[in-house]
Amino acid sequence: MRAKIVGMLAETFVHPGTGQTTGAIDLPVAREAATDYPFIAGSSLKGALLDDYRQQDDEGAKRIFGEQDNAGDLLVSDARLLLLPVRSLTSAFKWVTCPHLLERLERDLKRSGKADAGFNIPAVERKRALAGGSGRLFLEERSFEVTGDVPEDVVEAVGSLIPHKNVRERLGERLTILHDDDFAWFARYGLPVQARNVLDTNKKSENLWYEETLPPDTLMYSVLAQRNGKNGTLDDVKEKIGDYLQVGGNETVGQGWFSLGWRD
Amino acid sequence: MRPLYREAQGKLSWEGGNAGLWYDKFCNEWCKDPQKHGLEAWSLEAFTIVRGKDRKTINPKQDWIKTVTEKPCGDRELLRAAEMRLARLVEGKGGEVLHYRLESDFVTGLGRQHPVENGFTWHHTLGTPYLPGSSIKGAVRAWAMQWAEGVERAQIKRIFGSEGKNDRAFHAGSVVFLDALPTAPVSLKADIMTPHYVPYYQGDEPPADWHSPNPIPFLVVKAGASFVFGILPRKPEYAEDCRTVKGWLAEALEWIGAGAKTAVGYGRFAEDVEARERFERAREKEQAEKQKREEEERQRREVEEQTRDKSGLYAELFRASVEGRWREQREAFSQQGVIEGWMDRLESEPERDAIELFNEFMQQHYGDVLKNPDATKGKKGKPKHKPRQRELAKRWLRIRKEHGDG
Repeated sequence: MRAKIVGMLAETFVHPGTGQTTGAIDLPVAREAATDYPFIAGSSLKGALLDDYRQQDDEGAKRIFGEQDNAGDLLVSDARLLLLPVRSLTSAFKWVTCPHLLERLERDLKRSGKADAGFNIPAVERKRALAGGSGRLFLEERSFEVTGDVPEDVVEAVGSLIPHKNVRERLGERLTILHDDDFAWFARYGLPVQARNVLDTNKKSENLWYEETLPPDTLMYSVLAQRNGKNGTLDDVKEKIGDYLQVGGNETVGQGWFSLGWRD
Repeated sequence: MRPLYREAQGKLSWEGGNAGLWYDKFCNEWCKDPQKHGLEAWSLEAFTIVRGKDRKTINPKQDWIKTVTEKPCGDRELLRAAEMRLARLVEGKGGEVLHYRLESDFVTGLGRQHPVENGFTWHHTLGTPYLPGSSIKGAVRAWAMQWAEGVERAQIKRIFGSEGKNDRAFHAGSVVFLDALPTAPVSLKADIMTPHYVPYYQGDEPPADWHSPNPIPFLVVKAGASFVFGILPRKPEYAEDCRTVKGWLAEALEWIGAGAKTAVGYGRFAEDVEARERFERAREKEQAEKQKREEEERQRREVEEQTRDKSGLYAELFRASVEGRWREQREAFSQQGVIEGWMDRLESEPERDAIELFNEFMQQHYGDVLKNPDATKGKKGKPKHKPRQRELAKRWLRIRKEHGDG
């Protein structure tokens, strides 16, 4: 079975919502049940791919994405989080990840046929960080002690999923690795929350609500595979979808755009 | 929001960092005297005791606002990169990239909670103010519905979508409004609003001249800041709607403005010709670089294709010939040292395929000399070729004889 891993770099805020309230935020983003990391369900992602593909080739869409009574040729995994942009006092933001996410990336690379994932999972303690520079690093209202650099091979592997060259060049100085538990805190509480408002014709508020989003520059990835050894499906999808994909809610107010890095 | 831990108090700044994070979370001036006013009394109102009575100190809220107004906020390179990325997305989808400059001060996000009472809308990753796509859409929709001429109801519904999910033909609008981002670091300043009849505005009493004015400082973006806007059709067939919206957007930004307090003149924009020109130049440069990269990539592929199943030396020689454009330019191939260097290599590692390839270039550029290096011309029998040419040709003939097919 052939598979491709697709890097997804958020160009705008993204709202992969669940449509329901669980706490103080009216519209939170979807999260994995076991880890609480934000994610995009495979079904949502497949829907977005189908929508885009269908605009170019309606007949092909039926074969590749399936119909009511037959499965399609394309297998779409959940989009998983890899880098989360977290606000900092030393630069506008840091790209934060953790050993657990890197380990999952390594497994997914293997799954998609890249046997030599080509990097070692670094170890980091709680309240410490691997990052460029030295001294204390402030992320949101928490602080960390920088104890070492991010290994080059990790920068390389993560960078291969980023489509823009100049963004890749910024990766080294911004990449930060935290302990799994510390990272989980940011994944839970470090996302932007936007206030939205409906005004009446006198500009009085009719309805105010709070929405959680993934910030621009979030890096996710998904594994696409072709079923029954049908060659050409992935290349076809890559060609038709191209460089950009819109996923999740709030499309007409500019949210949900990813640029895609198709890694062979 | 919570007060900050002790470790940070008085020792931090946001120099080079995210001003939005600083402004929202690092406010360490809350309630100077917790014993007197209780820990729950979190506010920026500091108290001093004057003649046995509590008095508010000068203006700690304004002092806090001023921590972000001293220098421009935002990372120039990051903002430029964001502008180019926005442009690439918009143009890839057949939309419009537009540049507008603030003609008046601008404020948005006043409704958000903050210790200075009025919040502010900060972009999460850029750490600057910005104008959310939803605000822009709201302003343009208001313009189209209330002021624009010759607009049909059906058109409004198609472009902006249904008003609510209860609408039976519920659908999304045809035009996408992206967030507007500053294209350069932005200057902020503290502004003040002073409601004179607070109890009246709160609905408790009729307005009266014994009510005290209540000055409230708030943060604004100074006039002059430049923003990049992007609109795009949700599907290619809505391109016409996108053009219509482009006109409405210009009118709405000029006449009714965007953000908060537009009724008192905030948030007016005008087209920014200068920024437009700068953007065009930057884009041309980017496109030239992209073309160059693509050309390099094409060359790399060609080399790969052509050198499969060949010796290492052949591959090296082939790459050098493509990069140096030997086939196209005689001067490049004949440069001092190039030919000599390769002959040295070919002599020490006489790979048959590399020699054949090199021979092609020699034939192309020195074919005439190779036929007869010592040819003469004129009555005096002057040598026809220059000394270096003769030498090279002779040397090549010898190498070819020793290691080539002969």
